[in-house]
Amino acid sequence: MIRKPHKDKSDLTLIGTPMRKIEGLDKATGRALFTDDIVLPGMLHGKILRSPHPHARIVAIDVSEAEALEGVHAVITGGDIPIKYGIIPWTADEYPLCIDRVRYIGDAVAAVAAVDEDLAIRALEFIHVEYEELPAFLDPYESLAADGSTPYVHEPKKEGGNGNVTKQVCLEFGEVDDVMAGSDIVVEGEYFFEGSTHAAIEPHCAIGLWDGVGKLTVWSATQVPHYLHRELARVLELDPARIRVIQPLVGGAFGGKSEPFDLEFCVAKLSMLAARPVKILYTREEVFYAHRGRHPFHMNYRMGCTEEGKLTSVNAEIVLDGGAYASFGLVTTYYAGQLLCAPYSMSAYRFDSTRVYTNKPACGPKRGHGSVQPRFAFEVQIDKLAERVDLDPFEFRRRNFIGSNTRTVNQLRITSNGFLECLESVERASRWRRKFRQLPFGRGVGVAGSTYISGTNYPIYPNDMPHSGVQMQVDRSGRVSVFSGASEIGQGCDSMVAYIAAEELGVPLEYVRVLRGDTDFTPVDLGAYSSRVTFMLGNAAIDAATKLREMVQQAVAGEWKIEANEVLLAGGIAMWASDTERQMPIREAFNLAEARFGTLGATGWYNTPKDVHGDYRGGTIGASPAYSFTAHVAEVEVDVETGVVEVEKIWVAHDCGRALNPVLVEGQMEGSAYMGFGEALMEEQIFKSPEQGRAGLHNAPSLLDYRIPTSLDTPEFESLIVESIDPEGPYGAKEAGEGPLHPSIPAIANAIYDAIGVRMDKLPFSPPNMWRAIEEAREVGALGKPAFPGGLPVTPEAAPARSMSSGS
Amino acid sequence: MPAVTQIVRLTVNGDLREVGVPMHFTLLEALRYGLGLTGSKQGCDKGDCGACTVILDGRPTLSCITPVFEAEGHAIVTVEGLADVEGPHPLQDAFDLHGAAQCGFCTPGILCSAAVLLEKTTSPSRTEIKEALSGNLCRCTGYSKIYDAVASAGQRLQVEAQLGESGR
Amino acid sequence: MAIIRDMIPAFELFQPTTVEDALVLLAEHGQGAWVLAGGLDSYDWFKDRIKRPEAVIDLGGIDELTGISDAQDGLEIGAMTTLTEIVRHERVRSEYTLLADAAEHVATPQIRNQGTLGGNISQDTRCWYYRSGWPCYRAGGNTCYAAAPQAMNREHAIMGTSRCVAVSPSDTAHALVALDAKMIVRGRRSSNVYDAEDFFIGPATDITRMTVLESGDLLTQINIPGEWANAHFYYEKVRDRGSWDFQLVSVAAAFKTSGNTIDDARIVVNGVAPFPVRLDAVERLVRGTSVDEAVAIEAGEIAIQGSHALKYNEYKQPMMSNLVRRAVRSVA
Repeated sequence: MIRKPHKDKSDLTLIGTPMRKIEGLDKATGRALFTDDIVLPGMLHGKILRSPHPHARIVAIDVSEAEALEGVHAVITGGDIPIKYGIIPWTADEYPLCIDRVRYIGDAVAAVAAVDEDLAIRALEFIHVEYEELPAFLDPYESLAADGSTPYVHEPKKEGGNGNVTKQVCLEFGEVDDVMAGSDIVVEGEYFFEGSTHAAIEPHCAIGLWDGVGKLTVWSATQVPHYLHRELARVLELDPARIRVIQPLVGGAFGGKSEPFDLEFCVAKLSMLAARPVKILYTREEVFYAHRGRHPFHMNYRMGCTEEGKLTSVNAEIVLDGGAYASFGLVTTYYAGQLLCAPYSMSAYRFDSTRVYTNKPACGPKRGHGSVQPRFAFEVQIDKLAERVDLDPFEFRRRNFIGSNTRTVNQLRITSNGFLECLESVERASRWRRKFRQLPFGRGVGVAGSTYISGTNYPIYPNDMPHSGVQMQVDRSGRVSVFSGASEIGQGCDSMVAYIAAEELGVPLEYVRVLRGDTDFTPVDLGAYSSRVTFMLGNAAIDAATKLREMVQQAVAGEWKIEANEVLLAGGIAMWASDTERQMPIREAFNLAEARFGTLGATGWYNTPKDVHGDYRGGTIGASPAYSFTAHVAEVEVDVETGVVEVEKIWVAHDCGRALNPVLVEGQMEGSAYMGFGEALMEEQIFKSPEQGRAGLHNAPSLLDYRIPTSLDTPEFESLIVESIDPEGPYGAKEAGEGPLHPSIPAIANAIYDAIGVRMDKLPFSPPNMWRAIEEAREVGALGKPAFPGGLPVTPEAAPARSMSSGS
Repeated sequence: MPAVTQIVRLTVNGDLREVGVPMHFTLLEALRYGLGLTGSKQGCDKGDCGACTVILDGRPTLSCITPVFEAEGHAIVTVEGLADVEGPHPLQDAFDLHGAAQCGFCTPGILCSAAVLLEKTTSPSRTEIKEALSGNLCRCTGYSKIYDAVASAGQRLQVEAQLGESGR
Repeated sequence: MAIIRDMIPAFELFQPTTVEDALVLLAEHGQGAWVLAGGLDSYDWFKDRIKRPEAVIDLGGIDELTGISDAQDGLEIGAMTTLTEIVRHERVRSEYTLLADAAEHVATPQIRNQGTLGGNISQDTRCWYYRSGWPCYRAGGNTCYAAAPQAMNREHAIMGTSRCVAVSPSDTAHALVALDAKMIVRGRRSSNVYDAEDFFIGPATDITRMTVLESGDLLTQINIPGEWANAHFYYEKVRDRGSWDFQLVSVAAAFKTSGNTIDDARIVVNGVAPFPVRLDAVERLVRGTSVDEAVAIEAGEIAIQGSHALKYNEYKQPMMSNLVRRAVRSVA
């Protein structure tokens, strides 16, 4: 890996300008192929039989009738793939098909492959499963309190332990209790973040193709082809060198496709048995069962500050409702605490977070993994503290700014930090100072901030190899081929490597091809998760391109008898820096280089900094090469007669280091803010309790009943890009895909408070929930405009006299 | 009941196509599985997302809950039929230019809804755009870039129309 | 319920071209017949595999069922007229704004393009227990899951219940009641005209149906009398999302006024009972009064008298009260 000083903006020709995506037109014309668009000759259709019980022993399964149906080519059950899988090597706890026990309604039990989808569905009705129902754990606190009198969701790792506890983390930095006791102000709050799901519009889909003599090919809508590759080999006991994973374009993921799923193992195994290609496409209902979405969080936050508004001590107790399997839960449990120590400094911090199993679909990583929930609580707490010390919430945040090139209280290394600029941008753009506490009753503004990682310094399975690799080839025609194993899920990473290749090698963007998504010919990239791709793949691409560029420069310099660093490559030509009239087409330059160095190709890679984290168990989790920073202001209108909250606008300022393509960065900022907005106002992944009929049944496994925002709900966004130019990022870039989700939710909650004086500490802010909170506030006389900080006179129109609004 | 397969005659993107499908198939199934037109997407298969939207007799229609037999005798346009020999539809170009397609899975349906809107008016207000797209879910973009793309495609169509008139 | 769905089981299809033929087919197939209008509610049921009709009778080919025509006094709307056609119809837009408003609040543009007025008012309830295939009273079983003490009943009824607590999902039903529409129902032997108010029935009358339509019946036409043309209308629908969603509570009201005095009124609420609820007491209160805030508040209070909240739908009482208040206030 070569490290180069970053170019100044003036030296960049493409990077930083608005550019099209390389696959943009394919997507706009219907040409782009997603997994379900692929049909292989002789392909069979698979379906998976799922458990109707939240918790039960499988006593017997009889598949003979299904097998006997004409047109059914293979039927498999748990015993056919008896090895557990899991994304985290230490917590593999799922069988592709359950063997002896089902743990949630929707758990996979058997799978069939048949000539068409109709028959596959029908065949499932001929599989007979005998269950012995077990008491189900649906409430995380009941899971915690379990004593073993009924079977735990999973067997305890240690005898006598509570098998329902997945992971417990308690970390303390500084003397939390002492500092808390010495604080002038202490605010404590109970918060609840309802679970939510990714709801990518493309359902999961996979195709398996066994060649009959030992080679397996799996196409899958996955975010993590490399981890899928490893798990397929391990679980199916195949030679990884004879497995090929192909990742077609992915129709949205958001963390919902970032680990292996039952269908990938099933298509592989079914194909091996049927000797035919097999496709499984999840129904929308199955997508809700696969889940791995945001964990419901029960949070208690106690936070202290001085009279001057200096944050002192923070204590968090968190219970995570994990669902039936581990997924990324070990990491989630850490992230719930580890990622909260910026952008504000604090002298003491403790978090105690416990993840428990329940008999519901497994929770996992959703955009902003682990920190969206606590960030909601934290930023509302900040708002409450600011009010207690009579400070504008912006001022409170500024006073506690942690700064750049520093360490957090939990010893994470912060490099670039544009949080103050983010605050300033949204404060100015939203005209905050004219609005805060001054809009009429029913209207309000709120602010919140956050930070997020640009990838993690340590990979999911321990190894010292690069996190991302790229291979580039230069052709005599002038074309550049980039082989990238990164996961294009809509965020634009294929385009990003093309921009970098074009920038560094001086070719027009149209000359760059990105060959992607195939483990047979691309170097390993670990996947599209933890906002790692721009930072890591970008650096790897610069590395590869730089090596090629230097060869071309040398070859041209030799021809012109000048110094290599005087050769510029840009816009399809090579030229002499001292006399730009002296030029040759880039193609000629490439040919000179090929003549001198032989066939032109280079690999580039990126590896993370190590040992820049705290020296304590868990200190590596949350350690990232760089952190992004975000601030939002939300403006809302609350109708207290119906409980309807309308979010009119969200101003989003995000420090992404450098915007390699501002169009894509804005897209990530807006998409993130949108997703947070949806969670704030309407999204709920909820399940029926025993009293509500079928215990553990998903309440709304459809896109009609699980509500995600439509165009009519979604607020206007104003994206304000802040560039702090990170010293280690590609051209100074950091992440933009997840950070800007976080502040949406607390900013809206704080805006609702500004509008009507009602604190919303539980999600979502739907009309029924809002109405209940409004009624409670009305009863205690708290409904009304909160006071302006510093006791300044309230403007007349801000008085809470207006309690009526006209009909729409 | 065994499925009875029948020949259905569909007019898709100007072509008259015959396709043998079971009569309980939806239009989406006939397009994707019968005719290999995979541009129209299955997101929810129940009319809850809009990814399967096609244009039927000039109106945005959910092909996943349109019985295939209901589509006989009607003019169907899918995303594959928006471009012509002159090149991509201005909407398609604008979606590319403005970054309106992130993952691109909802894009075909959104384009069909937007194309019908621009047939009615090439200068839609932002509210009109929002209403026209209120039956299409997008999970990536937050819709903003989509509105920008639709508005700019409308402007281009307007300019082209004016040029066409003045050229006459 | 954790079974694999989303693909329709095979069925036998009939495509009659006249109402007569459709009625014959309905009679032949009896309980096994399913009437297909726009297909939205129907295909939802089929894909969930909860309803598996033997014979599907598609009304799409019957021309006499579509279109809006001027009647001597008012409008005649074919049951198969799409909601989009209604929204765009000039006279509906100008004289019966209430209906245009209501139709425009249905689901999404695509669904309004496909969905019909007849289908919209004949669609089945959205109670999620019932829709998921639970053996409840309405489905022929012997319990109501939604009325259990801890049940998930955020969307359910606060009045008009009888064993079943499901609500009418239609966005246009209460507008039609407010407009005093007449429903033409044809059976094999006879033809009946129902007041819209009587067309919708509660579980006390028949727990398995939401309208008077019985097996073999066909709703063919909806007549809007001229009586309430150009009245002062008020329509408001509260829902979780700006499109797609069914109402939490919705109000449709028609007022004849002189200044701010109400001469006559029809005020109907939906989303609160298994059928659209006409608020007679409120109408009596406001008739002949000159509207001020006190009258509006009293109207809101009277509206919810006798209502009964379940565990999670108590918000519907004040929501309904406030919407009625707003409707009355709109006259002032």
